[in-house]
Amino acid sequence: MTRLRPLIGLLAAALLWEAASRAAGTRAMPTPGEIASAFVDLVLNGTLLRALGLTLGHTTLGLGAAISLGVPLGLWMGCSRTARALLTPTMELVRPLPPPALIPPAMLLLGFGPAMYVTVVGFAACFPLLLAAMDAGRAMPAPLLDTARSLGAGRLRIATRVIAPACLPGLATGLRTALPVALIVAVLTEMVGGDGAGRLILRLQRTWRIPEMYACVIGLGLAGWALAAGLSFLERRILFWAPAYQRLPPQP
Amino acid sequence: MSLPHRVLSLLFVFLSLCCLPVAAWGAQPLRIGYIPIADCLQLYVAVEQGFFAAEGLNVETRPMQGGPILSLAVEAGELNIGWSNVISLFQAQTQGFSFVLLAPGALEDDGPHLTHSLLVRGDSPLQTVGDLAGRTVAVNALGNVNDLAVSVLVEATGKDPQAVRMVEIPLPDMEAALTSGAVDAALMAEPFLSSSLARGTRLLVAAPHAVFGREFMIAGWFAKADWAAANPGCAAAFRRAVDKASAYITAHPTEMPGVLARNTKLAPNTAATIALPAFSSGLDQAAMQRVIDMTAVNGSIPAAFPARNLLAPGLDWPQR
Repeated sequence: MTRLRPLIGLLAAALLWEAASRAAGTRAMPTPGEIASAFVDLVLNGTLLRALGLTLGHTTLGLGAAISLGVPLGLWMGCSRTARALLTPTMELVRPLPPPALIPPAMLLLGFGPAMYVTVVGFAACFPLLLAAMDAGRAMPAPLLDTARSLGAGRLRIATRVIAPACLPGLATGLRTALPVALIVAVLTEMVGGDGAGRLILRLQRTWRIPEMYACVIGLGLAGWALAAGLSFLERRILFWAPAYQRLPPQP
Repeated sequence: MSLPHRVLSLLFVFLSLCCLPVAAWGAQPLRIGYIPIADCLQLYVAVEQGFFAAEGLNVETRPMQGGPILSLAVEAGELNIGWSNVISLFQAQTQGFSFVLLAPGALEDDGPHLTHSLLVRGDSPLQTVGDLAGRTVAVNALGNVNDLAVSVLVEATGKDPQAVRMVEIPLPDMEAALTSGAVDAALMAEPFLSSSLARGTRLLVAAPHAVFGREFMIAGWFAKADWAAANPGCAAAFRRAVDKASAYITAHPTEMPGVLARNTKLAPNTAATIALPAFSSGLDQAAMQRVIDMTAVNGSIPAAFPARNLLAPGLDWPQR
């Protein structure tokens, strides 16, 4: 019974939607059955998967840019007081800027290609990673470094065997925050930029294919859920040794 | 999730759903949506000449970006009457949204009343419409008449229309997107068309809408069928005012640049040089049926339907 609870919740939501849809009596709110059949059609003819593939590609592209910029910069700021003093004011000034505000200038400067997604999605996803890396860098236990050094470890060995493992759990947290942000901004950029699931939703709405539009929205929801689930699976696999992951229920 | 939480979240979902379809229509003014381009000339004239006031109508006009967005606003009850390109209305019709035309709108041809063209930069390497495969084209709304015209034109050259990337850009911003290189081509409408050409852009296809026929009713004034049936007096009064405006436009062509300068962002000297659509109180139903059939053949609507389904039943529809 306990394991069925989430299903009961879903079923209740679907029933409520069905009732509301019938009561509203408008084609703007199709029933769950119509949406499900539209979903199956869109999956079978490949439209939805192709669009979601593009969207996940844009998300990954932006996330990759954010990781390669945010993580080194954050670690540097975490480890060096000078870097922190130098970069913090600039960062605090840029950080409150809502990423969608960058779409129109990025469109003009970079066109509608991958460069626009890298810039806009990368900008949005950069800050959670940068902050997480900075905290991880600051929280690096000094005795660990001293011990490694006194045992004769070289710089490379310290970086790969001490610093990287010590920072990974913090970076994983940053990634978990950055992922949904990247997906949100990628979809929004697509609505303007003309590719992927964002465009598909808009196009279906504009051509009045409303059940298909809802199906696409649900597809994006599932994609977001799958991304988060995949990430948490990887975390548990890679970071099984970290204290934060040992509070999980013991594996059978 | 604990039980109170579940109850609360279900309640929240239910309340949100209840708030959706609220369409209030009472003693408020008649809300009319339009696109601030030359095609909506009937509205500017009817307001300026007092044709609405003479019919006892108190109107509130709201500028919007494109036909599909206007239709969504009409469907949601935000607007009572909207102006939409006919393709978007066909699509709504076949998907079970019942909109009806209240009055004929802009008529375009490939001669003196040519108001839409496909433009590229002056130095663009693109020479024919077939070169658009793999390129980005700006249209004012996805899936509308302009989107369809480009698809039909590209398909006619044997290329895959899916290979053309359409992006949605408001008409006033198209020239900037074109000259900056953000898009390779733009389907522009007057008044932006003439001013853009004067600044050095080049025609790729002069009359893209000619794919629909020599004279083509590109758009018209529409409302929800429910609303038209519930407010027949209001619908008929609106129609009379718009018909008067059509007759006025035909009789006073020299006044129109001034009307446009006052109602769009157009400079008066430019307004005098642009092409205007023709307007009529008559409608060529056979021509409209031809466009419906073409749209079905192209796959933009699943099946053709009789043109008269789209005409408000309580009004007269004289043959043009």
